[in-house]
Amino acid sequence: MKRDLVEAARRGDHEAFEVLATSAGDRLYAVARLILRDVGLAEDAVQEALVRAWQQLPSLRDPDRFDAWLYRLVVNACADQGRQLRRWSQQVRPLVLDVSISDDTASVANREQLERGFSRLKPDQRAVVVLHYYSGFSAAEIAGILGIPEGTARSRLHYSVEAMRAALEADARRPVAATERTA
Amino acid sequence: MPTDERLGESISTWLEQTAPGRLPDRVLEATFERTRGSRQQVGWRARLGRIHVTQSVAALGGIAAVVVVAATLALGSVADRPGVGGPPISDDPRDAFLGTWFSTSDADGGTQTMIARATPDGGVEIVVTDDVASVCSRTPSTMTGTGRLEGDTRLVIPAPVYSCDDGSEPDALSGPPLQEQLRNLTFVRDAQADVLTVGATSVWTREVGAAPSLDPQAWGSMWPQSSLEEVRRAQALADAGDPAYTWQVSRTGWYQPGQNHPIDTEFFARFLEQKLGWEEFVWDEAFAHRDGFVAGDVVYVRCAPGGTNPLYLDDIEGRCAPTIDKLRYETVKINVAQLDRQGEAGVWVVTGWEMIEPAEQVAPPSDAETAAVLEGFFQARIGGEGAEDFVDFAENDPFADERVVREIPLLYATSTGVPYERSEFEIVAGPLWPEGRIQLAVRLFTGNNETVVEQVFSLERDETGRVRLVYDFQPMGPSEPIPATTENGKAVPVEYGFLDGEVTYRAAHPLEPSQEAWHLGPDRTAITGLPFNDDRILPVLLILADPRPIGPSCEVAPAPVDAEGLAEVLRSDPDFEATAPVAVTVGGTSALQIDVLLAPGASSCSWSLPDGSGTSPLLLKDTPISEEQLVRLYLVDLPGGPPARVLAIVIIHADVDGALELAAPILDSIEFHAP
Repeated sequence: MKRDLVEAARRGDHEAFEVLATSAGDRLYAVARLILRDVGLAEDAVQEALVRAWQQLPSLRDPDRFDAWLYRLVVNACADQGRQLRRWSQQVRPLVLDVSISDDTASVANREQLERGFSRLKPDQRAVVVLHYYSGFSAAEIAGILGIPEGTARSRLHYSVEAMRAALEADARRPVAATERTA
Repeated sequence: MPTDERLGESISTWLEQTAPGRLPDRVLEATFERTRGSRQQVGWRARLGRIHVTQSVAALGGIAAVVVVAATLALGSVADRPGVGGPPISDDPRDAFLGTWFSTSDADGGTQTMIARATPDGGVEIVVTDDVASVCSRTPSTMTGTGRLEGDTRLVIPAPVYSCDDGSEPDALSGPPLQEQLRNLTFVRDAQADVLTVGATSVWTREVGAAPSLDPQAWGSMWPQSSLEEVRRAQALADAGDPAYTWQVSRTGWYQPGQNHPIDTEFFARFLEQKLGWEEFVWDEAFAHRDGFVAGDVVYVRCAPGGTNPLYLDDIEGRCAPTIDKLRYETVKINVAQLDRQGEAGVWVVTGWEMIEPAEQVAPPSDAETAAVLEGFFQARIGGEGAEDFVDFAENDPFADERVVREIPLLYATSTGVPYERSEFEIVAGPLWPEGRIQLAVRLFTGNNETVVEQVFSLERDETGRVRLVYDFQPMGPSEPIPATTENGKAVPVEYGFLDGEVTYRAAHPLEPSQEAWHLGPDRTAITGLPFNDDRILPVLLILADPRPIGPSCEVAPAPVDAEGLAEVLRSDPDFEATAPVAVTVGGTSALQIDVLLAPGASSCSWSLPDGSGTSPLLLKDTPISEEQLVRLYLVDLPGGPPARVLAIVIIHADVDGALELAAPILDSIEFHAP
């Protein structure tokens, strides 16, 4: 069924594309927002990714790779959004958590440290972290999605986690006041 | 210190907690507004399946599409050829009958519409619909038929087929049976009035040409409200959810007033339908920008309802039929604004509109024009001179800054210097609406046919009406750029420059300077294009000027003054396992070759180190190096000296098999020039 929709969309069927885009929208948005940490930028990234998907659909050689291809487009769109801002670090700001989330003080502190550690990652590193730890893709799957060798995906993941660990450890050694500044 | 597993769980939990819910509907709506108004990027090979392009010879119908020019052809004869400087529109007499026609004399109060289109065998096919047909008990009817021209003014349909849309049999109200009455149905065209007549009483006219819906000078002000007070009331009612006003609030939340694009087309559609009475209309980028336009001017053109566009029968994008004449469309410029509340919840109004100079589609090059331009071009190439005069270069050249020479490669001879003796062309795409552009594959052969050079050109009409041949350095294929020139199927290398031409190199498609922002800069370039997983963004080779090493604590060190110093810094860095430098030659200049691998446990430097914009690039720990990725470095003292002193050529060759082999021709082509 989905393959049929992709085939139809490749032939210029707007309705088919809109069905596909609607069904993928939420998960693409989640990935974009987690990578970019900004509502407006994430919305723009998803929109750009979906417009590119429509425009470039005839070039998609294997319809079964549609989902993976969409992820790649949204990750690339996130990178574009980041580039436009010159320095991601200046734009990173913590997401406002849903008020329904209950947590204790320690885990809130942990979240802030994770936020800081994450904010120091490169765009490509953030992408692998989100795709692995949120979307649940393996390194091999991430490699396929991003079009990079599996070894590169693994090493990016490794270094990203190490960077976040280093941030947590560094924060643990610093007075709280000194950790307020984002990277 | 958390374990890997614990840390991973924490990251997962944190991401899940901070992940958003649903994508706002307005984002999808905005997206679909854009996709509905944009074309898919279909390259020329994909278009072959969609448009009527036969193998070479038949592509141009009346003339041979494969123009073979023997080397012995007399030069200079092109000026005498018919078609050079000829009329811009095809001289096929059928054209005068094609398009949409409306009967002005339907006695039963219905609307009769006729669509006439050319058939490949030289005939004309008509489809006549009548929404109130007396012979069908006042139900709709359809008549079809195919005929031919007799002379230039008479279209005869020998045996029209008339049917009632509800399946009932049409019943002639008087005289012989209907099919007999309709036999040899003849439309006579009055060229001066541009009307068709059938018999003494039936008159057919082009829809708007006969009765334009709006005077070209027409204009108007606010809509749907006419005063600020009314707008404020509309805002209040929209806030209260009154559907009579909520549509004025943009579904997408915003427009792009700084540009000339309609983001929320529903608002514009309502204006066009309700205020101007237009049934079909289109916004197109080609018509969106004009001299004198200001930010927020949005232009729509009107299409003839149900009409066909006789000049673009094969382009599905060209289905918008002109309303004024064969080329021109009624055109309106619309301005919108939020006069009361700004932002997502504010109502929008049209603040002004005016009918402006009609937008015009371009008549595609005729067969005669195509043949004439190409014949002259081929003669010049085979003759060995003057071919440059026939060609313009595409204005949009993504590598204009890096390109050393703007010229057509292998213009008069093959790479080995063998002159051409034969040529041919094939139409591979187009004409594309509304610019009328045609994409061609041009082939040149040596005498023994051992070598064939193929190049991609476009034919398009310029503002003066002249058909020009355009060479595009990066033409589009079905899904991606394709080589502009190949020789025996292999892409011909193109010369690029770096450091204002102090360093040059040659790369063959698909390898080319990267367009990715993070690879660009006056002191760095990346050659990408290696096919991998459907992607072409992996850098094969990077060239960095005066690279600055990153120390073990991720600090940025000053740029070493020479290649030897840079090699020493790298070798002494505990984050690297580096081989001893080997003396080699690059571009005729002494260089040091050194292989580097990131050591186990090496520093992981934050990407947020100075990103190098406007400064020297960072080396290695900021390039895509990671464990398992071996890097081959060539360090060169630039012979030209400052402003740059040291060049690092970086090949990352554990990423993709054979990267060193792929990079070798680029490396071998590097030359140094005096700054």
